Amino acid sequence: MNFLSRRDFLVKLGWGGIIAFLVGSVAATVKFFFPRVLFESPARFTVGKPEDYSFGKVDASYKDSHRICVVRKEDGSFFCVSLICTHLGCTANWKPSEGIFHCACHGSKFDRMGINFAGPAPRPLDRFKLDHTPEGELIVDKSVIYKGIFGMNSDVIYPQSLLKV
Amino acid sequence: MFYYRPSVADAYWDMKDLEFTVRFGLLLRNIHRWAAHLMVITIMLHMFRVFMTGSYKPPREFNWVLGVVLLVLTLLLSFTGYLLPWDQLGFWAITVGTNMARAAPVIGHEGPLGELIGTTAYNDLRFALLGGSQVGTNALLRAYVWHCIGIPIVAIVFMAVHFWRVRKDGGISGPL
Repeated sequence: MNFLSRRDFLVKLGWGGIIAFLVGSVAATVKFFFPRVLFESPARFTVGKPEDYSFGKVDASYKDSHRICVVRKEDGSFFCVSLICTHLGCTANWKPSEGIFHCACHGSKFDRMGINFAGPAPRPLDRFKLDHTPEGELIVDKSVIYKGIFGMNSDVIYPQSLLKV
Repeated sequence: MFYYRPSVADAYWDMKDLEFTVRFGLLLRNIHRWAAHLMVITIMLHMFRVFMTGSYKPPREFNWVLGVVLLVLTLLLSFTGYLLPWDQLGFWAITVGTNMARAAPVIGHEGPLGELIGTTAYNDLRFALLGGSQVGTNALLRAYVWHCIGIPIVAIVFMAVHFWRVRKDGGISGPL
């Protein structure tokens, strides 16, 4: 039998304790950098009643507070488009005179359906889920993302992103 | 650090106060700003000289490695300092810069293999850098602490060893 001597046992115990302490300290430090409570704007918020929106218009009232636009198409259906540029995440601006979304950072352009047609943006703007509350208000849920895919029309691949009223 | 408060409400106006109301504040701020730019340029020139004179070769190869680490630390100092005026330029530069962390493999939520360990926008590397999912008050405070305390401490240690090795290895870039 190979007995562990008292000296070896204590040396191993000592070093093991030191290593465990160091690993624990590093893990605790890493964990420390991930906040558990956030004070950011909520993922779900209401954006007024459907009557507030006119047909065929892009509404940029919620750009500053939530980085979204609510779009009402000619046929009366709604969708909520994210203004986060798909290139590197700046906020794209709605330009009513040109009828496009334009990102000031690197010049990406998107048409009124959010489809990219100029600049470095690799894919169309994302959409968020739009629904209505029992009180008849429109509610955006930013935790449900319909990701824009290059060369695809989000109307077609995400029919659930369109809200018919 | 005497007149600047790293909070969303105060940072930009404190920077403006530093320029227009604090005695010699404009001079101080501009010295800091231009020195930061010159630091990056000087490092590039230094690296060019060391490369062209072949001073990265043994026995100085270890110091070249330290130098590369110091280059990265200097760029990180520049990057964290960029956000602190809390102006449009800095805000979007940090937005774009930290968005790159999204694409990191495994630890970025848009990078490859992220699904393996369930990486999302709320537990990835970018989240830890910003202290949130957006560039906000936590990100500003973190940039400030990294800029003023964290990175300088690490850089001082590396600089001390760097200069010590320069002397031990027989001076900068001269023949041995």
